[in-house]
Amino acid sequence: MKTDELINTLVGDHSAQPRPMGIRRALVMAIIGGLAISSVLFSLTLGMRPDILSALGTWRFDLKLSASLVLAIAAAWVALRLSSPVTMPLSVMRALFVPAILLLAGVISELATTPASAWLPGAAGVNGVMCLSSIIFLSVLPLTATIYVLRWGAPTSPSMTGAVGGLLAGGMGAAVFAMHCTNDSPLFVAVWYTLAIGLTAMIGLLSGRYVLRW
Amino acid sequence: MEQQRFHDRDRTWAGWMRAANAGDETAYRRLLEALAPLLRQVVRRGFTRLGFGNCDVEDIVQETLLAIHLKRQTWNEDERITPWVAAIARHKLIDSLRRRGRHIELPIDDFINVLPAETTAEGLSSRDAERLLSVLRGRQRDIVHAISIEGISAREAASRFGISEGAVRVALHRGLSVLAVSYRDLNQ
Repeated sequence: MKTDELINTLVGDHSAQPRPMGIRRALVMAIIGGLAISSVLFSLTLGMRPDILSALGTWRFDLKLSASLVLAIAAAWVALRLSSPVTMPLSVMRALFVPAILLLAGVISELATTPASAWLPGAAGVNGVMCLSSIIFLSVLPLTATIYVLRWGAPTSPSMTGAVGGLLAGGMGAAVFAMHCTNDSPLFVAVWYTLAIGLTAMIGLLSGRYVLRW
Repeated sequence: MEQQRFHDRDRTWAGWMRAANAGDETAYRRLLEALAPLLRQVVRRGFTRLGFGNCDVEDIVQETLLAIHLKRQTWNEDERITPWVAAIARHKLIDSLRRRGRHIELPIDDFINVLPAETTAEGLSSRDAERLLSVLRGRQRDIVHAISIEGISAREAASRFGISEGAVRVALHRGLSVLAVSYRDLNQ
């Protein structure tokens, strides 16, 4: 094939669809769709904790919820930036420190305000494994939707972009699950939520490596 | 002086791409036709420096043009366009060198500071790439062939094959995506 012939083809395809959907809009749709599906699954299986209203008034619960949401927002921003080929990956990853610092502040304050004997029970919580698997369960569909739309992008580092997509999905899954979970200690969140979100990021990384290549 | 030239060129290209985004087919063709010789030169220079022959240069040029096309929505209209084109070209070049077993860091400025030399008409891909078209099957292949080689429009293709214009577009777009994957697997 001659290059001129290829150009004919590309122009033909372009006139059919001059402006493919921008990735920002696609990602917003994936987030809304992913959250909606996860929320439905959540209400069908786990359901809200009975004391949700009073929990909303405690700093521990609020921290758990907001750290998850802040992670999702930061990861969405980073994923968008990484989808442009001109972005230098390491420069934008710093935004992910924000949720990490938030959680770290919670952990420090918990360590400062509770006796050392309460630390281990706080971190172990009640049924950490169930929490771990629930977060991953709630993250799978948001992850699928996220990775799917990230294919519109042109990331120079597909694995890293996939991992950040995993953080985004994990943050969404964690925020939804937080409504059910009665373990509010930041120590519990730092162990189990982090582990679950880390595993989701790992799935994102592995799939991104193949699916997000271009 | 030269800086000004690059700047003007970027503005022209960005203008074409914005017009293309608004549906101007001619502007899009102009842009791709302006990029092709430049890409050819950049790839050839990279190959020469690394001691490769020139045999697959055109494959990479075509692969890059295809990537620019399929990823055109990642360019923001308020950004400069040259660094964006350069980033895609660089990604494709690194990728193709990696497939040949080389891992190389390429400076991005390399691209920005190149002006196209006057070159004779060329642009034929290697025999390998020729075989690529054979990955397309049936109707998809006929449509890509008619539009690329005969240069007919989607509407003409629709009436020739007796299908809707929408179906032509879908077939064409899918054909291009298949082609992009095959380029990537070439030489692997």
